[in-house]
Amino acid sequence: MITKPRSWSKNTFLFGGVSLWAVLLISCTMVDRAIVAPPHIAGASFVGDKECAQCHEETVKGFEHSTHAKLKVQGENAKGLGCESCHGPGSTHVQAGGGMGSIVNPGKSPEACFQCHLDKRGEFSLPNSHPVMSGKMTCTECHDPHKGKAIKGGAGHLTSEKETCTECHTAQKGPFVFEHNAMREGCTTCHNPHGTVNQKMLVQRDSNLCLKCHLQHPAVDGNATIIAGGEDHRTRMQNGTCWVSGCHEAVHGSNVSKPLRY
Amino acid sequence: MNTQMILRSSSGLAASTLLALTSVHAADTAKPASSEKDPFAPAENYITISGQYNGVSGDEAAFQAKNWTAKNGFGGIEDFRFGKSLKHDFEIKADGHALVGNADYLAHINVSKNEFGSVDAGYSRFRTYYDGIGGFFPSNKAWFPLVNQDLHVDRSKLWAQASLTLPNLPTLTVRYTHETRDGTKDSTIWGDTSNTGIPISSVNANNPVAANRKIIASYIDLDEKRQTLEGTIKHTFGKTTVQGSVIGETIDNVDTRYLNKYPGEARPAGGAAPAFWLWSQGSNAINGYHTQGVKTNALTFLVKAETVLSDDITAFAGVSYQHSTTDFTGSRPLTTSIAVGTIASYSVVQQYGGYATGGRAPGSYQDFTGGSRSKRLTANVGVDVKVVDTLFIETALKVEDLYTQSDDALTYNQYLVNQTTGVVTNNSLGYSNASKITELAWIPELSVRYTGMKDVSMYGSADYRHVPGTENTAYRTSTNLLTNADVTENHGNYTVGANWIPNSNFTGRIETFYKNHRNSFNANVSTAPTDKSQFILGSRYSGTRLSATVKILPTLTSTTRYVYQAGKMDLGAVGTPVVAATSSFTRYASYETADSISRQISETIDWTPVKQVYLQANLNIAFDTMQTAYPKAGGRGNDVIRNADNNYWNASLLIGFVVDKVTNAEFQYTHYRADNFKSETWITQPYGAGAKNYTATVAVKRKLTDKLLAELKVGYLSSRNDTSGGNTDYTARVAYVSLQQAF
Repeated sequence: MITKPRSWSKNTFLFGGVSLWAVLLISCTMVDRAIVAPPHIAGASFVGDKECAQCHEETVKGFEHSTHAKLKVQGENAKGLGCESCHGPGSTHVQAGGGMGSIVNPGKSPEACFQCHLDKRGEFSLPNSHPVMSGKMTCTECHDPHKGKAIKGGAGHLTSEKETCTECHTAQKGPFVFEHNAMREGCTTCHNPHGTVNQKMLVQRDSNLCLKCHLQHPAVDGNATIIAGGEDHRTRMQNGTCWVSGCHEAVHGSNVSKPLRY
Repeated sequence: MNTQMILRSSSGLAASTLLALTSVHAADTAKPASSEKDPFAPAENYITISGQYNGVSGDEAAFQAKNWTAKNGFGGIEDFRFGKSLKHDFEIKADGHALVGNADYLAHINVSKNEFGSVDAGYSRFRTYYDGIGGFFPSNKAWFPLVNQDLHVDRSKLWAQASLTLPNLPTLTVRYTHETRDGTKDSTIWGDTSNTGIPISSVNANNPVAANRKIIASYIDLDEKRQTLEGTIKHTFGKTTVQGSVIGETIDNVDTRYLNKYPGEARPAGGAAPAFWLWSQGSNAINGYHTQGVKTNALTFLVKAETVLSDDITAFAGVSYQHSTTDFTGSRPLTTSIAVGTIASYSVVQQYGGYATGGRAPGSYQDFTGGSRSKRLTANVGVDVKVVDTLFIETALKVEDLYTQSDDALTYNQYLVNQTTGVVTNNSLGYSNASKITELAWIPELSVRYTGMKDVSMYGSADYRHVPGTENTAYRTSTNLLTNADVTENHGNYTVGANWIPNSNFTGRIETFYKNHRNSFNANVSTAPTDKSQFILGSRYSGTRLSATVKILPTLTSTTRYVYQAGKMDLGAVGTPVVAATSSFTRYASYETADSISRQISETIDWTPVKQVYLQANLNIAFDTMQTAYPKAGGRGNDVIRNADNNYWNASLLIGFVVDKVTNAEFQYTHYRADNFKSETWITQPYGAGAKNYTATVAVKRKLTDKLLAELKVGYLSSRNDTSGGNTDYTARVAYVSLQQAF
């Protein structure tokens, strides 16, 4: 049952705003305490990567060959760059001999990543995204900040980039009798895994998604045809997207149809 | 923006205030400038009990899908953490949560002993929600969502791992995982309807009603399982570390897609109806489903070695071999009722569709069985060299040999109905398909990093993928005679960048990239030029990423990131363009298929005006458009297409402040807006998405005792969606309470 949504009135904002500022002003004048939101490492200072290596030798060693290592700069200005860029200052953690409560764990929250990758905060906040903002997934499930490429696989690595996605999305893994060659380019040809404004995290929600690879030259420019696969698809495109029912539904590959239908 | 994010992770948002500052003035400390003890220092061991009430007005399914939470709320153990050192150098860690309502569970335990080994086991499960919507036509407000829009999929993972790490002996690890995806989710494979109020716009004179459009919502039942068993042995001999793994993997999926076409419609009998009703002429309600079963067994052998040749040179090599077999099963029965004799009499046709008479194959099929065998041999070798203290070079070469052979058989159903007599004629036919794919990929990679300039690092990387291969297929044959195609990929990816940290108040980064991909396909169906299918698909993308973090004041930091990307794609000919047999177009002449550009600017402001208050503001603006056939299609071609625009902006504001010695308060507001909805293409589905969402929450956190922390939050959410014609709008009032007990 759909009912008409109600909206806030100006009075709501007025009352709320005044109340908020009143409480804020009172607290600032009455309380001598600093607020640093949790997870707060009280009194911690930077210790440098060598201290981290005392216990986390393998991790620190691997970091030298990671994507993020290219950010390291020599000089005093960049002293805190490295482990503590994401995990926060580590002196308290070192003094405590380790422990979960004395160090920031970016694996539990994307905020450490967002401090540099601000655009990803925006994308993960879109209506169609992987559930990172709700804490059901973390950045480290797809990215390894400690070793090798931040985007796993590909290039000289033994695994391919696509395997990161098909580890969970096994139905799209194949093999298929009839492959969609776009899968060779990778899943990100059609999807943005961080999030988009479109359903299924598609980078385009309409026929443009397919036409960007499949559009062919008409006999005469501007002759009102939209050629793909050697045929005019203009009237078919009236029906909707290219992957609607009865058309090219099996976009990841088909076992029964070369034109990719289920 | 989602509720769970609002109500559970605002502490993380605030944490980035601390972290962003640390990245700028790295040499500074993060000591709170306070004369009083921080009562909210994180506890080592604790349990958090929480509950949330959601009061939703409007579309509850959309609320669930956008906010990742159940429409009525949830409750239970939000977070549990326990860690303790035991006798004999053992250590135990456990964490978990159990939120009933959201079906969100985690139980994880780890027991370890230094220089002996560890056992790690756990079970996690979480639920994702879907709203089961289809397309929307503004012209007559046509809207056909699923009857049951309340869809969800549960994803679970069970794992157990044991490691033996005795000193000076090989490290042994055995790991088992069992993952499932089970439930129902929506699909964008939308079905047909004639009820769009749009006049016919094709030459199909057999359809006397309105032109059909595909906007009927559809859904998929998922039943997917994946198991892996992995054994690894790793040992260091002198300066060489060798690792060997054997990985067994099984995948067992049975996924069913439900197809609903022309729901509620029935084409009248009599009149000028033809004697036989074909696939392309029907507009009766068609119900069907497509079931596909996939069972894969894969075995992978992996050996990797890394040796330190000197303080400055490390070499590595690896070999992986995977053999997998996959069994296919499935069917796609489509059922309809067709009027016969008089309008009052209908004949149910169990199977419906047609390949043999020219319908789009496969409309309906059954008895689908087949399989696939795949072998993949991958090897890489590389060396990392520190040429001097400030120059690092990493090189690698990967070679991959892939062979996949697949075949299957099925029966295409073809039932023709004589509308006068009701007699059904069965013309079903059996066919088979096959394919064989070979690839030999060569991928060299080079990466260089230089830090010799004061406060600056520079880097560059390049990789090139060259793949000669063949792709042979047999489609709807009785002989499995494969046609041959040569497939070649040439993909170049290049990146250069630099970081600059001139002082503790500024960090600047720039990175630019270029991709040039060419995919060639050359099929030799016969010796006739018009039987050749030859083309090259090329894409060239370039872009720049700029980041700057500036500490404007000791209490004010600005971080800006700008990402620009532009690209073009084209579809061209191999050699001399082949002219088609028809005169309507020239096949494979070079043509620009896409011209895209996207710009994204993001800004974060962290401000601590006084020590009792912090503020974080985020803004993200994206301009993203891609042009394919519009407007160059011309004439009526432009009736059915527009550019793909994906512009949006979203923002968030977080204010936290001290209320008293043991109480903090927090206010958060988020806003999202997309305004790309184009309804002027009335003859086809609207292009672009339009939506406006906002949320506001107020939270109070109070330390009741040294070990007891309470939190209360209330929030308001609003969502308006133009893309679905307002049918998925909602507002919600949410309330959340939690108690955390440290121990």
